[in-house]
Amino acid sequence: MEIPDDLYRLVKARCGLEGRTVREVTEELYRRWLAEAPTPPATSAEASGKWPEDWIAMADRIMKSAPPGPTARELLAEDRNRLERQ
Amino acid sequence: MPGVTVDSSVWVAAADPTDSFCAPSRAFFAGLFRHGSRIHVPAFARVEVACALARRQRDAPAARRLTHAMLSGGQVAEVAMDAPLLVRAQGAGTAAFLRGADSLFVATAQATGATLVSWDNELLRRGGAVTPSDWAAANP
Repeated sequence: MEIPDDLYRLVKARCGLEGRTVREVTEELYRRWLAEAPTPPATSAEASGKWPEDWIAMADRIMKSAPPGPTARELLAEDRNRLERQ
Repeated sequence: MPGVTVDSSVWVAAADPTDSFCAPSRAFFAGLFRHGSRIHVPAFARVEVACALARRQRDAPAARRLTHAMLSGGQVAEVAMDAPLLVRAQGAGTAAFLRGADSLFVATAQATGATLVSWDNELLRRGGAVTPSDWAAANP
């Protein structure tokens, strides 16, 4: 496996600071990555299928489990207004 | 038919079934598809939409996938935020006292000759935008 020199130097320096070997850190990162939920890329159907029906169906699936709270539009408005004096 | 620039407020409203503007936003996108209208958005929209959806759903990968699917339609063109667009945004934003992010959408609409469509009050009041419902009524 080839790693860019500059990246490897930074990793090695950080490992030195933390008193760990590159091997230990690499193994830990692999394990952490494998423990995360997989994030498949958008399929071609999602990306270029029947627009907009496909992404609307996808939105319904995804947003079904959203926690209660402000809508995405309200969050966006809040974000845009956060520096405004009311 | 002239194209449209769709503000992030409309994208996220269409994506969120709990939003009171969800149905008219979805109807608007269906209308755009029916008419074959070109949709121009500043590249920044991808960031703004994905972040708002992630904050709503608390699922970052899902928000990114959904945003990608939304903006990957053949009718959607992401406009690069290059120097000319930023100069235009600066002019439009300062002239109408807009927020920085809003000025990017106004500049994109101006640069592409598109109609700006938004649910955002500031863009409606000072940015020359129309609501999705108004656009749909004018383009049955």
